Amino acid sequence: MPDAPDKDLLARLLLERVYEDALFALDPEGRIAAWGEGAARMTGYPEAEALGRPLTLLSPDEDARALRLAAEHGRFAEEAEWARRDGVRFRVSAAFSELRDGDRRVGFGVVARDLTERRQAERALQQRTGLVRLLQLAAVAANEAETVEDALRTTLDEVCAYTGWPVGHAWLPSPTGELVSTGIWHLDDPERFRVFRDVSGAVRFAPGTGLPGEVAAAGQPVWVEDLEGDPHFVRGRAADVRVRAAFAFPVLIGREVAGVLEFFHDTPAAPDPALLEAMTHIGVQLGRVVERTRAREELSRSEAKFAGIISISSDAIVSVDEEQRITLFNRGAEQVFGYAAEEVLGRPLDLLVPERFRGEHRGQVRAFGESGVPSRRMGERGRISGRRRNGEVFPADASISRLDVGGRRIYTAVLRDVSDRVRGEEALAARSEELERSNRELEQFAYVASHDLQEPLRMVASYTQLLARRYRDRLDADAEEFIGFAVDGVTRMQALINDLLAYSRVGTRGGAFAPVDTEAVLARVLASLGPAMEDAGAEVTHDPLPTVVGDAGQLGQLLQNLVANAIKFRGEAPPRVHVSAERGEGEWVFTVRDNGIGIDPAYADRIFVIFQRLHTRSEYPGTGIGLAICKKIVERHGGRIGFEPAPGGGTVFRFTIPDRESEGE
Amino acid sequence: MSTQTVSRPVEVLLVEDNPGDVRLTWEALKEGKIRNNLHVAKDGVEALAFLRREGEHARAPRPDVILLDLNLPRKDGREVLTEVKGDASLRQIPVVILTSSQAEEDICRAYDLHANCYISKPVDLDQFIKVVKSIEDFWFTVVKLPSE
Repeated sequence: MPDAPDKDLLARLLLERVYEDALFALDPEGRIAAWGEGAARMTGYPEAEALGRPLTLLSPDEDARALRLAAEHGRFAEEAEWARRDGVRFRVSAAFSELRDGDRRVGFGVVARDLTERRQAERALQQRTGLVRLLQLAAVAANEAETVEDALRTTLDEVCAYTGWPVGHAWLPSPTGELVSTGIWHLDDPERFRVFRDVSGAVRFAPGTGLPGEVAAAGQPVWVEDLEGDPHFVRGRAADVRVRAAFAFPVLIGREVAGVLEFFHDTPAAPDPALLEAMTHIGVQLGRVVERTRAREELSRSEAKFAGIISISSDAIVSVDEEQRITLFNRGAEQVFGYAAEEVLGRPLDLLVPERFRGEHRGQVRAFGESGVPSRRMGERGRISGRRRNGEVFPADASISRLDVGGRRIYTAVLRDVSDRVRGEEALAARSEELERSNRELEQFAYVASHDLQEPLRMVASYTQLLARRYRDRLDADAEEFIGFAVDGVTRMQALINDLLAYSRVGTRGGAFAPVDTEAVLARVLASLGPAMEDAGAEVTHDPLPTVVGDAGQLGQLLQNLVANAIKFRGEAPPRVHVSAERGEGEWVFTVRDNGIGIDPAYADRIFVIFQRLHTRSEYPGTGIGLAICKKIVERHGGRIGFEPAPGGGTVFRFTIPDRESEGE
Repeated sequence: MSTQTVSRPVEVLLVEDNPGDVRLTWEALKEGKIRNNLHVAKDGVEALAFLRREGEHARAPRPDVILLDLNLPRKDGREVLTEVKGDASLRQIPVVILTSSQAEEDICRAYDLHANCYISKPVDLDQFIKVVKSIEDFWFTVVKLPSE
């Protein structure tokens, strides 16, 4: 084989290039004869220092046993402790092979592998694998735990199993922020740590105090190598706590410390940074459990509240899903619609909608779903029509809201059956319309009747008088008197009819409302009453009077009637009348005060009634229409009228006119 | 005015459906100083026929004054007034509204339609006679102005 490589070259390269293991050769006497690069790296001896030296250079305890056994068996391997050039000892796995050339022994070949590094690497790998597993377990526990307690218990067990530490314990904050024992422990030997457990159960730690408090304050894991003599470890003051090393870490929600887990060993232990880092992650995982539990409790609290409201609500509450199938039907809905919940759940909403509204309703719900609005009233002016089980259609005030829950959309309508109210409103509207119509008819009737009554009256009066005129010399005194009574009767009847006409006209022939200067109106009234005032020696005074919104003609008539009454019903003294006005709440209060004969309050109800008189015609003439007209005018203006005796005799009439903006009528 | 002599009788058209009122008006005019011919139309349709000399009224005189009741059968006083005042050949004739209605609405309406005077029929005979006399005076005043 002309191309076969040079064996010497191969041997040389083998010694120079194989770094990972130590390769070297010994002569038959056991002295180093060839020294590889790997051996130099592993032991620290350069070739020059190693060559010619015995194996004891590397293996101080070597008693030539290895070489003897190698010589006997041709090959020998062992684990042994060697020493490096710097004195550091390390374990190796060494293989010795006897090297022979034919029958002659030429030496020994040695291959050694440093076990220290591998061991370390293995341990590191093992540890890493263990931590990863622990984190996985903690994550699974966090995901699957139903309660915070479950998650804490699982985590304590897993961490203790991983670390081999015998004690694990969890703290949770009380509402005041102190940490309180959860009573959740992992104890390899409960009896051994009974005292520690009892002591822990009896104390509370504010942030910053004790081991849990320290963790809570720092928001970071803490490791204590040896608790003995640690002044912060207050629980250590008790006898027989039997714990020496500790680490603890927080349950974290963001920066909030939602709990603390602590672990103890009965011998001192050096810190393990990798473990603490893993614990930080576990603390965050547990924080998620706490957060989730809180959210669920919050939800269930509000759900419970909501469910309570829903069930007791007399309003009908109906939820539908996106296919408009009924998913919720409360007691109110059962009463309003007449269906039991189990009859309608899962069935289409159309069941509750009158047939003619179904298409429209579906469209509206869809439109609402597409709108960005979370809730709004339903139907025109918030009113829709529902359909009861018996087919009856009823009006309801309704609002609808939309809720997206877990990717599903739920529409909830709250309905209130307003049929009673609607019936009431309709009845009221019908009655008030009927009343208005009958009032109108009555006024119309009074107007027409009084008008048509004039004609025959005039005939009676005129022809009676014509009779008297033409036949005067042929009639006696009795006849004259009879004719006198007849004419008087007709005249009074005509006055009554005219008054009736005037009374009916207050309602039917009123003018439009506009701002009216009542002071100017009073001035006109006084001017027209001039002769009567003069005859009676009356004096009418007034304060400044306001401008109000009303019918100028009627307000004039009102003031005229009141002032004329005051003058007419005068006593011995010359009449003194005073008109004033003051602002009331949302109205003007007018006062007409006189010093007349006064009115017995017993007649309060009667004096405003048409044709009611308190005096005989011979005392005070008149039909008794004046105050009835006053009342009607005041009421048409939305006010009230009344009277009271004036101090010192006489009467005070008071009426109100609402103080409003000029708005027409 | 009372001194003025009138060569011909005054032609009065009374539009009135109530015979009692017709007779009263006739009696009142009889007591007056002025010679007059009282023509009576019982409703608005007849009144307009008279004024326009239609049918049996072909030879009717043109009235010097119209005494018009508002409440009439067939065609009421308001309509008659509207037509008279809308007719160029008739609108010169003074119209006195003579009615038992005191309703303001009637009054306003009548003035809107340019009635020359509105007088409500009083219940008292003496007053009625005064009213008719005042109409006589009124007629003398008014008729002198535009035409003669």
